[in-house]
Amino acid sequence: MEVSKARAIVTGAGSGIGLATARALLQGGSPAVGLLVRRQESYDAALAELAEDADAERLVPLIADVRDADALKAAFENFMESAGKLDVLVNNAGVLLDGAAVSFSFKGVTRYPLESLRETFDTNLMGSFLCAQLGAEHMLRKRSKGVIINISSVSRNGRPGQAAYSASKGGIVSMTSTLAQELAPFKIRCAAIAPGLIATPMAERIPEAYRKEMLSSSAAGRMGQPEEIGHGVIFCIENDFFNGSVLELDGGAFG
Amino acid sequence: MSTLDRLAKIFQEVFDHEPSQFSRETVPDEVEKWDSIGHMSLVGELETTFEIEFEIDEIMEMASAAQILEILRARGISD
Repeated sequence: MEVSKARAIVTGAGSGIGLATARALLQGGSPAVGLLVRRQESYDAALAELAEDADAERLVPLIADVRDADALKAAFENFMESAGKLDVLVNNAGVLLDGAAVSFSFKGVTRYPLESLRETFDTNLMGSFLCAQLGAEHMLRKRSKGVIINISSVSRNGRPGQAAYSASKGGIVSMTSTLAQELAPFKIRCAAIAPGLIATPMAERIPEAYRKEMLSSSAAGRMGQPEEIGHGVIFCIENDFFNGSVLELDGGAFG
Repeated sequence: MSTLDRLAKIFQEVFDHEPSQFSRETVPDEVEKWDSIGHMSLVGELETTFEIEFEIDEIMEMASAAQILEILRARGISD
């Protein structure tokens, strides 16, 4: 699929990978890019950044929490009214809430909070599922041979302190493979990208010692840039043979 | 090698903590990776190195290098 013909929605588009992806789509000539964010202020901030080097008229504000099925339904309908068609969905919205599942230490017995578990699963996995469901429905209605791109993580294989996050990102890969098979008869593709440590606001919340440890096991020896993930999204859109698989963008992570 | 030196070596391996910065007075706040997750790694390394298995109460009492040394001493491991 040509990016210049791809009308797209990007979730979690307010900063980091989502914002860089929206910029890559605009630079590629995408006629409509829906920025799905939780708050109007996030959209305004993204708009201010993107308007510097792209035609802001191609942007569609979509305010919704990915955990809210009704709000998502309305947001996708808004996009269809504005853009007429949906060709690309990038499921990027996510949270990272670190903590051991259970630990005995000088702090006593600590257990990963149930509310954090719910927030992680609801945002990362359920949110991606709901958006994929809506995205596929709208692609099918207009018979778009589109692509759904889910942002997973190198952490999907497990990392201490990230049981919930890893599980949610692993679930995204399973969902991707399943959707690719279910939607194949309609020529809709579904792919995942597994970024390593990327220089985003989310990564800034990881303690420096852990960041160093992750980088020490990376062949690149540096953090990735959000634009490098945006570039991966463009690859997933343009390469019609890429389907049901995971694109590893981690600089060569062996840890 | 003294037990304190062996402990310093374990802290270096588990937490990347400089042995020159390590002493009996070392506490979690001074060691960046000594949190509830890191503590489990520390306990695992202590058990492997000293070939013992701690009680849960002992694990939760390890709030400083001095306390770890005291628990090891009570288990018959001292200089």
